[in-house]
Amino acid sequence: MKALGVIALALVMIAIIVPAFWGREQAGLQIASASSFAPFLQSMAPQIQRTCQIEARISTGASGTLATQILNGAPFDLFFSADAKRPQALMKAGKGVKTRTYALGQLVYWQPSPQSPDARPLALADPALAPYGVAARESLKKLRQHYVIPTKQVMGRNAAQAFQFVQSGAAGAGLVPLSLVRAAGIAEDKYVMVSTNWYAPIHQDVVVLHPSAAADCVLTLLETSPVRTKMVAAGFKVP
Amino acid sequence: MSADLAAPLWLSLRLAGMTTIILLVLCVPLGWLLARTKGRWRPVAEAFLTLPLVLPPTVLGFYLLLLLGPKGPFASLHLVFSFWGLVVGSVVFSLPFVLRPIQSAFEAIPDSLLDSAASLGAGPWQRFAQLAVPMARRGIISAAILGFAHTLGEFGVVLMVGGNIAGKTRVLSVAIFDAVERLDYGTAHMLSFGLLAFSFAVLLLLSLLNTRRAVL
Repeated sequence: MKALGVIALALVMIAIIVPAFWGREQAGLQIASASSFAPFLQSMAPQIQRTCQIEARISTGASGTLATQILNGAPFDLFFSADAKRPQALMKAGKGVKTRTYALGQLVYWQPSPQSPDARPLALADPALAPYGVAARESLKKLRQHYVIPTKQVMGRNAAQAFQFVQSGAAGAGLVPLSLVRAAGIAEDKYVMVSTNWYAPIHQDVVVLHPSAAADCVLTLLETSPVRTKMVAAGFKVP
Repeated sequence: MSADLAAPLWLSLRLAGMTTIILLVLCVPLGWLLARTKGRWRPVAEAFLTLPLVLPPTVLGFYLLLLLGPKGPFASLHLVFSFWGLVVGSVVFSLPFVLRPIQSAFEAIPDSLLDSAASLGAGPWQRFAQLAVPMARRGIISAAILGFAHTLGEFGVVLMVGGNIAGKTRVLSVAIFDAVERLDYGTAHMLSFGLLAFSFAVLLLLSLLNTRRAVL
């Protein structure tokens, strides 16, 4: 009985220790994606698998956070940023091989229910980390001339968190990407498009960090017209 | 969907298992040493080794990132954003949770018993390996379960040192965070409930183990 226990324990230890040293590198394309693009990219994963014969492994975060991780050696093959600045910075740092614009982001003002402007805060993404936060800050002055907008503000670490603040009801309204509002299936009468004249265009660039046939395949796939149609439906403008 | 679940779960179990093994190897001798010596340095050592219990995971994660990162002194080990980086972080983070119960179990062994063993001719190693460790058995088992469970639920250190790399460093807690960021609440619910159920099972096991000790 005791011997059986010892054998079982030894087997468990072998199962834990062996893979740590002989851990095979699982084949797959490591993709870092800004939170505004992640739901769309995730929805494309089956098609990437079919067309490019590779599993898309997607990590989500604020563009700034992901760029910092890449600078510190995070092993991503592709990085879909929500801006053009960070892919360029990565190119300059010698981390990237090439960049291109894959989409243009659009900002919406989302207010789930009418409320007095002082009740609950306005949610936006942190401009220091997230490009949609920069656009939100830029357009705020003009927006206030046209709409009654909460005076208090609350910052999410990225666009997705700003979105969640509004979704949970903690914030009364938010300046968030159209893509997230569409991904969550929010009714169209609950949000308005923010005029693109009120903020600098949100060029969303992708940077190739480790070139491969699979990486090129994914980029080519995103430029085919059926996928572009899907991207427009998902709330992006295409370049 | 099932791959979404299986990979982080397997990674979490491997990480927790590896961390527990390393911590047991470290903490059984260390706990013995702390329990049996009354030196002046002992309070200092105890305070130092309890630090991870008090410090926020971000502090540990930040310093580990500086130490292990590309500009740090251990850069050549390539530990950041890797499984072994997570292991290092988890060992530090869960150390007090394993050390404390083991040390208490050793302290509970009466001196008289060890003295009699010595007078019967048992050497220091024999007293440790053949008397103290078997007597502290239950404490060591609880320590192992606690260390395992604590590593499983870890988030801050893992996120800072490991990032969020699918298949490499995306453990359960980080996978939940990632699913929420992607607005994929279905996956987040599934993973969260799984972790909740598993944690309850572990704590139940621990509690049953303690009850049995009380009866004995």
